[in-house]
Amino acid sequence: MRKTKQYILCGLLLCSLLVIPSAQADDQGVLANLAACKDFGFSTEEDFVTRGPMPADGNPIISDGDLLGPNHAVCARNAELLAPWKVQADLGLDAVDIVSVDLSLVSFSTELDDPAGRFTAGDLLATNGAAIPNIVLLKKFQINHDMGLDGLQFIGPVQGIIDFLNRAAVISRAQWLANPGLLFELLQTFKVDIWISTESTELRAAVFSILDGDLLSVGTGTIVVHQADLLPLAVPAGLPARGVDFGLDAVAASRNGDIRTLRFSTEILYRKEPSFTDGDVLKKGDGIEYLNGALVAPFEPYARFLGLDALHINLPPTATRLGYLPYVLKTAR
Amino acid sequence: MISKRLSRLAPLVLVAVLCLVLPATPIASASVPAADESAVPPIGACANGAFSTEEDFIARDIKPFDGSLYISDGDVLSFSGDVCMRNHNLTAAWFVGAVGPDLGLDALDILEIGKPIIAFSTEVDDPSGRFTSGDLLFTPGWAIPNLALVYPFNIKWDIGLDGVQFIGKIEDILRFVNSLPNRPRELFLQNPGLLQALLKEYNIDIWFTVEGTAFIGTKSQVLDGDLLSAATGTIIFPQSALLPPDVPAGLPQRGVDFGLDGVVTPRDPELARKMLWFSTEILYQGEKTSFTDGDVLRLGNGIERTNWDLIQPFHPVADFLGLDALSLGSPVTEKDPNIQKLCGDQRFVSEFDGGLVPINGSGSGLYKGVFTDDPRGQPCGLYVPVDGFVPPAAGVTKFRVAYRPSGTAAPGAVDDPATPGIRTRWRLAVPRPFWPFGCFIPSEGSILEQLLETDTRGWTNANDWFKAYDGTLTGCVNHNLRLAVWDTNNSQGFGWGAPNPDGQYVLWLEWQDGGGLHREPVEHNLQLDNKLPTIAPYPNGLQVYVNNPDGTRGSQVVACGSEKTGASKFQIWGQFADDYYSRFSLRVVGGGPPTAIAGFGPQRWWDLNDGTLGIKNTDDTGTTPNLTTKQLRNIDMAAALGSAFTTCCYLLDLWVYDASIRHAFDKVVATDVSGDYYAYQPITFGAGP
Repeated sequence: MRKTKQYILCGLLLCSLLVIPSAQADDQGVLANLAACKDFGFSTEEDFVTRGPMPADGNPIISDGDLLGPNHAVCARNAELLAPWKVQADLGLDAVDIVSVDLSLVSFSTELDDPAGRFTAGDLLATNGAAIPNIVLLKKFQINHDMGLDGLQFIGPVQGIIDFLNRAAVISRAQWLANPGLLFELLQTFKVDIWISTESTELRAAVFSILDGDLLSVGTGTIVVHQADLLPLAVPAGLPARGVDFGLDAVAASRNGDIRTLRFSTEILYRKEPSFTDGDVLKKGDGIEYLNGALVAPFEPYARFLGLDALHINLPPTATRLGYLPYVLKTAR
Repeated sequence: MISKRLSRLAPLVLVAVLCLVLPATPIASASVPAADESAVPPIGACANGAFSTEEDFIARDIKPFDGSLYISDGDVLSFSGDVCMRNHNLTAAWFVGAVGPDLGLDALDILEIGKPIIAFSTEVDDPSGRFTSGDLLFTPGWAIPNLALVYPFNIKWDIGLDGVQFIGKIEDILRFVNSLPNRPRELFLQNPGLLQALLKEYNIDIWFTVEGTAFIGTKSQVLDGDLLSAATGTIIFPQSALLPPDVPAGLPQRGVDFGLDGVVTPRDPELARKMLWFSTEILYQGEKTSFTDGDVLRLGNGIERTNWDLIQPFHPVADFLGLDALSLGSPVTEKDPNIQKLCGDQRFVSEFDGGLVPINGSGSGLYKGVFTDDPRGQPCGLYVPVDGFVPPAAGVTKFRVAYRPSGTAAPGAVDDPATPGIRTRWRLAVPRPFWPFGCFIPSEGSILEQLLETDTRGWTNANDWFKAYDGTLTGCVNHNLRLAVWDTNNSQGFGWGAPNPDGQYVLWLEWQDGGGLHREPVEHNLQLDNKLPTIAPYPNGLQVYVNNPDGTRGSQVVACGSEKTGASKFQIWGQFADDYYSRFSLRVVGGGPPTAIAGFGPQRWWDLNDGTLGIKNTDDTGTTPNLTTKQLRNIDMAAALGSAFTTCCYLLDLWVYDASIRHAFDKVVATDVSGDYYAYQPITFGAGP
């Protein structure tokens, strides 16, 4: 009986993959410049005017909802990301993960709700039209309200993530809400996890308290990295023991889920040593990777600091602990 | 045999399994301090204003009303270390019979303490969909949808709500709020123009800021850094008018939208346009102006309160926690003009010893506030900005900052002929007559230059000063104006009866209005110091000796001489003095590569030692006893320079810093340049392993 169920589910998934067109840049050149963000993409906290080379669309105003890349690249305007919903308003860009440049597939979240009510600022969106409600993402944490979505990183094989998002694209919001368990079946099927951080804190969660500075695993309903473990010991990060929640605004990691590759930014700055701002890209437990000024400098903005809201880095995997297992076993003989 | 192998393997397998499993296992959360959720919140503690932080933290050494030291970024906090309301207290009307979730706090205006009635917005939407994070909420349980607020701007979507300030007579505002039970949220959604009509009917306004931007680059542009009016559908202050000209604020002309996060003003519409405090979304570090997104800023220029000022009463472990919501509460308005700040925008008179005393009261006049660690306190020198409160509507016709030497009796009358006043000359911003148009400050002596100047007795024409401040005098705002800037060292050379540059003085404000001449009922002691530190001339100022293994002083390594014994540990001796000495630093440069640098210090006079355990030969006037060359500290060249410590010539630098708070003044802006004043002496010597 259980096997039959699995066959039916697999069959349904295969059928759906056949009928869903994979995400592509459309004929009008939507996301045509996405390749410039293949290895690195980000968004700022605030709008500004670029004094660098003029963006391809001739508009020097950079919105905090645009996806930016190295070398003054404007990889996607906010409207390009929101093209499946034909949203005219700039809704901001709070989290991003560029899944496939070839397929123009980007997963992200916005700062504001959809004016038409099709998604909230806490939902996980993708450029193929997928929209997974925030409340479903948090289901395994037994939290029944939208806590926002501040950082986002898909973990797993790229093809699995693509297949997952293509499958998610045909599931309506009502279906997600009616059957939240579907998300976890799909994550399991495609061997994918979603790491997220939230906008708000929930101290009364049924399982354990969640800070907006914790990195969460949607698939397992666990805290992947606690706030206290993100920052060096000299920083009083983590509640209640060390005294402050610095937040977790942007996050990136290698797709194999090695937490040693984590890069992130905080919500507030820290002035004592080791000092950092809320616009710097930080390494887990180990200082600043990129200063905010270095990120935005190619745009030659009038101010050296523009904040950091969303972050994507194509990080190579490092040796995992599995890599040490043969050595451990060999030594044991 | 198998079991034996297993038993040998077991520890290693266990380690391997733990290595794999532990990172994925959530560590049990440390318990959150328990709160008495039924405790009554002391909202009265926020009568004089309130704020919220960007992030959660643990407070120390305070006693919150519910017993929990956990402070959420959704809680309402006072400026004096009180938790006035928890987030669930604010939203209690929507969660009757239960404790609601913490939805954050983004905008705040405390309208009435008694009931209380508080206008606010949240960070995230209501779980049940009864309001969004962009709606304007009221503690009795009423909501005005975001769409109604932004309707006059032709914005048809929820664009968020970041800051709010009600404008008008408080009686009218409360009458409007009390009418809301008859006007549910749905009514505003069906008729979004209703709000504008009601605001006009009640003769009030709602000034607010939004989270997103709209129609950017067009004439209808709305930035999240603009201050908007819900009643008129106009921009009260565009982003560019909020910050000083040297900050590139405003799109598209000046290049950046810094956002507008918290905002407060008096409720009087005229006063509100002149006295506005706010915070931004991102920080700025410029050559002239710097601020963080947690500071409370003044319209046009200056930091009213740093983030640390706000959070310090909660004794957090971090010195920055951001700023999200801000409210003035229902403050008692100052009735009479008074001096509030000396030596810069961040130093209140109450933080000076004798800085706020009755007439003829005493004190050292040294600054002892939150921005100094110096236990003796700091004097002020060079240019001393003096600022305070002169209400535009109080009918003040002229004012001056009068002064007399400390120890002399206060004059018996206001405008005493023998009592001088601080004289100041301001260069004003004027409209630029050619492209690119806008405002600028003409160079000194230019035919376009416009000055605002006190008379010979220090009196300022209040009408001219107010008009220059708000821009009606020249057509350009001059928010950099202060009550006076005192040239204590006669740097301008105007011959304006300069004070004793190192004397102690008493300052007070005098003014004239329809009722005649008046003076402050209090006085402000201020110690001046323009004397710079001095290092004794060569060879006594800085000396190098070998440090013997037993810690005694070895042979001197004379300047240009070379130490031959291979010693790497040296004693540094020096002699310096200053009436108000602060600290010294040493630096060694040289070796291989020759760019190797090692710094030692700074060592402050109040530190337990001068950098080496057991050595303490400095006090608050420099090396002690005075006029003697004393051991400052020991240095270990091998440890400091590592492999770069080779047989070579080295440069040893000594810096001795003054404690005085000094400002530069270009007749436009007074800029803190305290760190630029020090004495310096180098010496060269040879050494090597």
